[in-house]
Amino acid sequence: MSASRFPHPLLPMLAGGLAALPLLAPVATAQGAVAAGALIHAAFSAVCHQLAERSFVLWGQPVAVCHRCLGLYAGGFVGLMLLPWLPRLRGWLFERPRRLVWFSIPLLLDVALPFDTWWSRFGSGLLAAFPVAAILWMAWDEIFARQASRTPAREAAPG
Amino acid sequence: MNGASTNYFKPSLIAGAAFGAASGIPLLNCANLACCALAIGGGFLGSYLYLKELGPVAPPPYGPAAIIGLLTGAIGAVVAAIVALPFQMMGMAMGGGFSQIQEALADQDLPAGAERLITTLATGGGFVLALLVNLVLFSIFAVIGALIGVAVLARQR
Repeated sequence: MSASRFPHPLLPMLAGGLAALPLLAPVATAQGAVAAGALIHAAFSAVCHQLAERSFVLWGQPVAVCHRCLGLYAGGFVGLMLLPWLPRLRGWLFERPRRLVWFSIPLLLDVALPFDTWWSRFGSGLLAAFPVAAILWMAWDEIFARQASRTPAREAAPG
Repeated sequence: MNGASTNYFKPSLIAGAAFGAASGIPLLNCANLACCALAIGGGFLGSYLYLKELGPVAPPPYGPAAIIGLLTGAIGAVVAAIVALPFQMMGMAMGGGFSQIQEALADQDLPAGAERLITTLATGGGFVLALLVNLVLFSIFAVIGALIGVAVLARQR
């Protein structure tokens, strides 16, 4: 189980920023900041196919990532926001961490089956990333707990 | 942190070099278009190599895995940039996205400053910016891959 009751505020902020950035591309383009919108699109071009027919459209412009990728980004953020209120689910996950694979089964089926829709792509992505937020939170706690425990020791060291 | 070993560099170097090389080669790098699968796979591989050296451990070392993922992503981005360089010179790989900006904005009435910026990005500046963007994105996805790897592969003591 996670060491802290809530994740460090920076963690949901970073996850939320990653989820919001692709949405900013069409907003920027619609507001006349065409270069900024194109820059965000180009940045995500290395990690997503960005097919317009498989992406949400805002103000007549496609979002910088596809439905599934946006679902994955959103799932990390939603997980970090909701998991602090679901301690039993966290406990169940950390009891056998391999259980997070179960959350990816709908995504794998969605990829494999030919009748996927926008909501199945977005929803299965969101569900797959949701439990990953718990281990991301755990990793953050582990790294910074170690650093915190090192600092007083170093200060107390002689000479 | 779990009393886990702190030799993070070797697994990160191997995994980063492997996924970075794959990410730099045209066509092979298309695997990254599936939610950055190569970077996630690279992080997963890094965790696997780390856990192989570490042996059974309880609880799974999430903190070290995140550090390995971060290193793997950073190494992978640099290796991808180096491997992609000759292909980019032939106009085939990394930085192509920035040339696309130039094409997409060709018929737009842009201020002179924006046009200069876009021209810079589509040429040498695009390569540097693509490297910086990939450093960030590959690191994020490799961390996620490494964390999934440690959750799935860690054998309890």
